[in-house]
Amino acid sequence: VNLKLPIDEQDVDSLVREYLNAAAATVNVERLEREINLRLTESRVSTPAIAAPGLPRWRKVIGLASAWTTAAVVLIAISCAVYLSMQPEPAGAYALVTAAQHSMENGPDRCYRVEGHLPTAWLKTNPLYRAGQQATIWTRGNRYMASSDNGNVPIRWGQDEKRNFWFIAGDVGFSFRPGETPPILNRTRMFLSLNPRQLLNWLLKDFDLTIAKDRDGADPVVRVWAERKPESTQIMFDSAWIEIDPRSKLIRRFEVERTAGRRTAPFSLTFTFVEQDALPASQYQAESHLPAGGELFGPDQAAERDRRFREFVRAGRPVVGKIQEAPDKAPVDSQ
Amino acid sequence: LDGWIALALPGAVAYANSLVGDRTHAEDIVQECVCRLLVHAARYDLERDGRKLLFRSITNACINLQTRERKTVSLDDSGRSDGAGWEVADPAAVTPPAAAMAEELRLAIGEGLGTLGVRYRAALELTSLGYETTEIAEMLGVTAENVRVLVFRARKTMAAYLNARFSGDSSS
Repeated sequence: VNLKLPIDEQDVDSLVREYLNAAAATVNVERLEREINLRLTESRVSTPAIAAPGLPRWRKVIGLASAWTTAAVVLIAISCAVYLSMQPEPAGAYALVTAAQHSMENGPDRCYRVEGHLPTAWLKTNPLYRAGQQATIWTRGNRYMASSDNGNVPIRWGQDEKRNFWFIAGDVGFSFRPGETPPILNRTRMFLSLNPRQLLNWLLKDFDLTIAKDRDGADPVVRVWAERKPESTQIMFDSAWIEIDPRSKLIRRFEVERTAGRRTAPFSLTFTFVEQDALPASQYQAESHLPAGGELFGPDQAAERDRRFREFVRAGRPVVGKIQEAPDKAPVDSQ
Repeated sequence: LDGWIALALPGAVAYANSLVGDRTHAEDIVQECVCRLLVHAARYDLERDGRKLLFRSITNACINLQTRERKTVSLDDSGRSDGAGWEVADPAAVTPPAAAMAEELRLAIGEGLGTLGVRYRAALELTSLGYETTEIAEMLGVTAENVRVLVFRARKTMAAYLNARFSGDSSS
């Protein structure tokens, strides 16, 4: 970084170019290609050949060169991944959290136990919170599947590869496209998903990170303390503890907390790593969790789905288990 | 997928992210645009024009999203005035002071770009990526003269923002 002040207008282009190049370097091309292929497959659109048959020989040569280029890019990417995996453990808190985020986005399916201590107002209005404040979450990239069985009616909810949000209570299920999710469920979606992009991006952007406890002896875990920067406008939580295994970059435990403020109620959520495995992709889809004879209301029945959902919320089902409520010491922000 | 796509994807996502301020949206738009191009591949010479067509398609999709999407406050973005996502490259390979300075500069450029209107941002970024004025005009659906005006004003605003930011003047 060699910044000369004052910055001339003619320097802006190169700064913007460097900014875009740096952002481009964080893009996971392999994952994007997988997702594009998935979209093409699922929409039953076959990928047309880019070069039509009967093209001149020089075009075929270019096509062949292009295939070799792809192979070379993939090979370089694999080499880089191997090289990076052999690099020394990251020393700083930001580097460690960034590496953990990368590991989470690209690693195997991971299961976390989620325990919450939530404001009463959230519990009253949100059917997913009412199911209990303990859940188990399986995550893979931006997909997740959560279950809460500590009541009479088991609840499952999750997000599939197209970021459709779904939840199933008993024998009724609801499925929403990304833009359709009822506002009442947005907060649940954000927190209980343990969305690595969102939560860890917030930490990296809006929080001061410090290594509070370096590993000692047999315990390889590094504890990172995250405290909201004073100038940050992010209000969802104030502080967080993250426990990361510096070798595997695995997040072992993740606690976020918000203290009572002028317009906010306190809450805390704790994610504890349970196990990792390779789940079938279908586990992140609503259909896999719907009991026999159950009914799933999706985007193709949007009006009926929304009517049923409103009834479901109004009916207050399922009210199960003993809920541990956090005292509302301050006015509660609306859902 | 073809090689040109793999080569274009990182830059395309970075560009879309800068325009819409959200990495997930950006990836979604890029995937959608690539799919659309592939579906209609027979109409184009993608080996030659694919990258330009992709950026054009992304520009339109992002402008549509920015200008036509109903402005609502998502709880997912709650508390962020700009709603921007943030991706940080692994700084393990650089020294902490250099990483901190680079991050500060990257943050400032991102915020500076965020103060520009989406067309100004698109014009400036496409210029910095090496596109010709006429190509940008075609992508944005404006005249070449308009593009020059957009780029001129965007550069001026960015330079003023960055100078104020790094000279400690917080009034801008």
